[in-house]
Amino acid sequence: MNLSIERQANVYLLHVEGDLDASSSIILDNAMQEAIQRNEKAIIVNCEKLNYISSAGLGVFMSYLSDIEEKNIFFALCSMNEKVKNVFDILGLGDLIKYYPNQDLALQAAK
Amino acid sequence: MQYNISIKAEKKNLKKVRTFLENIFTQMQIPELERNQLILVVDEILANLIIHSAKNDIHKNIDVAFYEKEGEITFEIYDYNSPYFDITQHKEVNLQDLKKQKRKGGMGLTLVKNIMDEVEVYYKDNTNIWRLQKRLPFLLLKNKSK
Repeated sequence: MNLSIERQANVYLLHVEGDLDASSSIILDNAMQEAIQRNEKAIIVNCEKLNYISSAGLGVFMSYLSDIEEKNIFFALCSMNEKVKNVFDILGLGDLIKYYPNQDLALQAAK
Repeated sequence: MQYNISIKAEKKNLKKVRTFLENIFTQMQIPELERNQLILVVDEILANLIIHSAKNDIHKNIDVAFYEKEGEITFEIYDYNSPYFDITQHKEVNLQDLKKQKRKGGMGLTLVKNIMDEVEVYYKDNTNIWRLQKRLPFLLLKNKSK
């Protein structure tokens, strides 16, 4: 899995690429931890190039939701492919994590 | 026909199993979404066994077997030299609790149970044998049309 960070206005954008599984989720974990510690106002995870996700990857997001809420950070995922979105939906994570079909919509919502 | 793969209990081997299954399911013409779900359930069980049962002991083997019969895919995953795992004690995860507890784990088995039609664990000769089954009616139609 590869991860890159981009800034757009006040938004911390994480681009996740490849396979996010029990072996690679630590990379995402470190990036999420850093973003939250930096007191970012908005964090968007762009999943356009994410090929695969298991519960280990989704668990990283779950574990930071309380901190995100406490710090009043806007947090969303965007641009998942059908396979990744399917896993997200099976667990019903849409009730807890905001999701947008593309990055522009996520950025608009973060304003 | 039965397919088999054996791995050492290392997280880096998860990708190896996913690629193995992807190739076979593609040959079987299983659609992408179902293919991903089937790969995911094996990945989830293996990750749990590597972390919680084998405790990342790279000397420990885990075997995976699967076959298709009459439109049903069956996986058998062998977790050797392990204490009995009572799957009946597993309860569906509560997402609000996970959020409050800031836990990263706990969703894998719920995913597996939501995807598969049957999830059972048998205990024999100090081995937990995970048997996961999923009916894919289109496979039955495909086989009949041959």
